[in-house]
Amino acid sequence: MLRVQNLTKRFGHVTAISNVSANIRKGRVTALLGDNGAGKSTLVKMICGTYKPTQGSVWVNGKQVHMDSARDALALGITAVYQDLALVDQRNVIHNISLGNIPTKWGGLVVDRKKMRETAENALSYMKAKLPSLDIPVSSMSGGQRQAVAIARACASGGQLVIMDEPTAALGIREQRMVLDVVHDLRAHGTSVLIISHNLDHVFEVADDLLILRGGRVVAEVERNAVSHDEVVRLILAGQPRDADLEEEVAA
Amino acid sequence: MSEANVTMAASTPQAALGRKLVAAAANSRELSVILAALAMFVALSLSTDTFFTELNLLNLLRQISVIGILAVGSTFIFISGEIDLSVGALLGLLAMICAALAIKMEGNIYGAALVVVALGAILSGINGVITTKLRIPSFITTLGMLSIYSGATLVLSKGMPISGLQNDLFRSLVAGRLFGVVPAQVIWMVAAGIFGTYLLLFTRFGYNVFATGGNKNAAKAVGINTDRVKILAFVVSGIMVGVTSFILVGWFRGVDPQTGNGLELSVIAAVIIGGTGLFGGQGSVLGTLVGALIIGMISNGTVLLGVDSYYEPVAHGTVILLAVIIDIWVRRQR
Repeated sequence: MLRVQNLTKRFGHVTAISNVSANIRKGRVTALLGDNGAGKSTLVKMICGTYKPTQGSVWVNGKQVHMDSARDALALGITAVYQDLALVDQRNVIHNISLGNIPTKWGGLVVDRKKMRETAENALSYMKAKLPSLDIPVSSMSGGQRQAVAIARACASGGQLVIMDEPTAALGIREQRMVLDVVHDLRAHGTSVLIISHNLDHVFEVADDLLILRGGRVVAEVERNAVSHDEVVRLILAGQPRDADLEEEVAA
Repeated sequence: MSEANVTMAASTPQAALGRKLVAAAANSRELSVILAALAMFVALSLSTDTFFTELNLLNLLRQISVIGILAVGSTFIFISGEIDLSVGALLGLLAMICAALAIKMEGNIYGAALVVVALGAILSGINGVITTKLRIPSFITTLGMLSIYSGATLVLSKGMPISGLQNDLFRSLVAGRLFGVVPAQVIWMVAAGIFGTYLLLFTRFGYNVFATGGNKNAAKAVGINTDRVKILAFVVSGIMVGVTSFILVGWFRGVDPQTGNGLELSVIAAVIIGGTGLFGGQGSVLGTLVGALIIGMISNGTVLLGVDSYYEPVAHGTVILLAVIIDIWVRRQR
């Protein structure tokens, strides 16, 4: 679905991302792992159009793309669901799901409210998350419900790749469950997911592939089943697994 | 245990009713403003013989038409998360330009009216550009503009009023009476209210105004050009100021250089009392017009009750503060 090749990002003298190449495969959940400062956010921001790479290229469905803004990324089907959720608290679920993409009729003169409601209903239909109502402000909803709304918007806007930054942080246990279910639902629906998380239990539950960064470089790009919990921790902290065989695989 | 209870409770009829109540409460700001206005209306009707008469009520509506139209425009600015202190001063400047132009153009007040509406849109739009592009808080931008506009009005008029503009047709359009009863100014206010409601509730622009004022970063992240939305909100307000200015010029057959002085406070009061928060993201045109009605009833009531008119600004200020305190208190409850 998405491939980055030799991606580098420098801020002045600081190199945040150095020569990163990686694949995000279609219909799979990829976890982006790394300690604080490993370059996860910088990489994600280049994938969703917020930062321009200093060097290297981004490829979507086999074509090289240039993104200057989040809007460009959106047009390519890449949407990010941020930690701070990016919902408009005072507005209801329906508006939040169509945020920035309000449908109109009669030559753009009037908002098509019926279509807006249908868009919201469709986007939420394959998620198990239950919302109290589509017509109340999202400020009155729980963290998990708000995540569901934010993710539904990502899908409604034609998202082929949904990027989630710490989607389960600061949520209660039940709410975390809800978000992980949403990730499963997304994959079942054929949507690719890139998830940033420090919670390895969650990562091991939902991810198919792991992409591990350390010091701005890729130290591993592996399938979840190929590594153990401990090896992942060592990769994140030291840049190498305990296992020598795996080290070869990582180097390749 | 408690988790299970929550799950069960969510499916009972009582819970459904509870959800409806929550939804109603979320929309209740408008309702509570209307109830407050009704209470004032009943109180004034009972406590004076002169309030509840056709003549007084029509006069009251005519008096609030100026504040009402201006406040409809300001509502857009407030919902987009900005504030405008310059509407009164801009009104004075545009009215002066309108009258002066009408004289220059040998009484072509229609041409002058078009010019001031366009000029209002441009000048107010500049407020928006300075606020968004130079990142100056709109409070400061429009405070500066207030002073500039007031000064420009004095420079232009040399402090002298313009009077004696004769155009009977124009005057009947802006200050006549429909069917000999309803003042034209009230029709203009209702038209501004309908147009404003259409823009705010039925256009993509309106939705984006709410999104921009509610969470600017969220709006930006989904590709809304929040700067443009804010600038357009200022432009809508400028158009309303332009319309109000030609109504005043036609109504009074001229203009006084003091026109609009201090009016911004009443306009802001109407917007805030009407349930449009100080922090953006919520509000309504209907609420604003009811807010204007409350402001009007305070003025009208003080006169009818024989209260010293010097107390009127005190009453206005008190009501603004109360409205803001209630707004913030309601926010904290959520």
